Amino acid sequence: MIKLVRVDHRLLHGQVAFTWTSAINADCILIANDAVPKDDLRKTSLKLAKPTGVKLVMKSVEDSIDAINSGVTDKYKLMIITESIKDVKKLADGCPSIKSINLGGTKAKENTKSISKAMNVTEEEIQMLHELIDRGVEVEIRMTSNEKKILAKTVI
Amino acid sequence: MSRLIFASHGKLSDGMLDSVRMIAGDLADGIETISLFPGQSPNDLYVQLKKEAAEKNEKIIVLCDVLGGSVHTTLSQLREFDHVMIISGMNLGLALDLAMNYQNDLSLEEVEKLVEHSKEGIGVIQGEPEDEMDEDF
Repeated sequence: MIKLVRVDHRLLHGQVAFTWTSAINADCILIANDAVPKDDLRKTSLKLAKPTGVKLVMKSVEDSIDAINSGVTDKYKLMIITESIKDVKKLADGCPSIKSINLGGTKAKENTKSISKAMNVTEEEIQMLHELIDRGVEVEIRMTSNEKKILAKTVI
Repeated sequence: MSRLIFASHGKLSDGMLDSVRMIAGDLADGIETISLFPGQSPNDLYVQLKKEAAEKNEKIIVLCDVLGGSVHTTLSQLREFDHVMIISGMNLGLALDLAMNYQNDLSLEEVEKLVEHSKEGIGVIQGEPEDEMDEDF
């Protein structure tokens, strides 16, 4: 069962490991990212952030979609982390079971605008978010689990 | 209600709270800090807390910076109260675990578990990683 789908450019780090996994009681974290599975050093460092008693799986976005749709993840209280809105859009497009997306943080770049303290998005990404929202996916902004949800549609 | 107090020589406790807030956000609200500065007597800190502990039968967890330092040794006298626990060896992992759990009326056993867990968080890394199997579903 998918408990949380999050966009966070830092992927798995203290904030996520400490507050989110316990708040949603996750027992498995899936990092859906095309670069990570091919990068041993990055994989090793992400493993360091893994909370005890939680399983950590790292797969490409495509492989993540296949895994989720195959049903092998059903038995887990699953938290999925992607690094970008592009990746989460692809994931949600491929997985109808994703009904809600949490925006945690994305870095500010030249062509981005800030829509919250930690979220910076491009025009193209705003379009993607609108597409998701229009078909009924909840898109909410929260850095930590104890913050109040801000619905993305109110700020984009 | 329970109280969580970070206690240190100098500003470590304030800095620790600042770092807890960066990671855990509002969960840092309500956590207290005590600092001992040059020229101050740790005994004054103890006397104040002792008074508070005697007035109200409310659980107090004190996280001290270092085992056997004057902050810890002095505040360790608060052990006479059954509703006070004094921990030594402050680190961010333990501070976070406590921040997230102290409102749940933690038992001594539960706090011991958090302390043990924080010890696992101390380690050193150098060189190439060992080959480790990746987990799968």
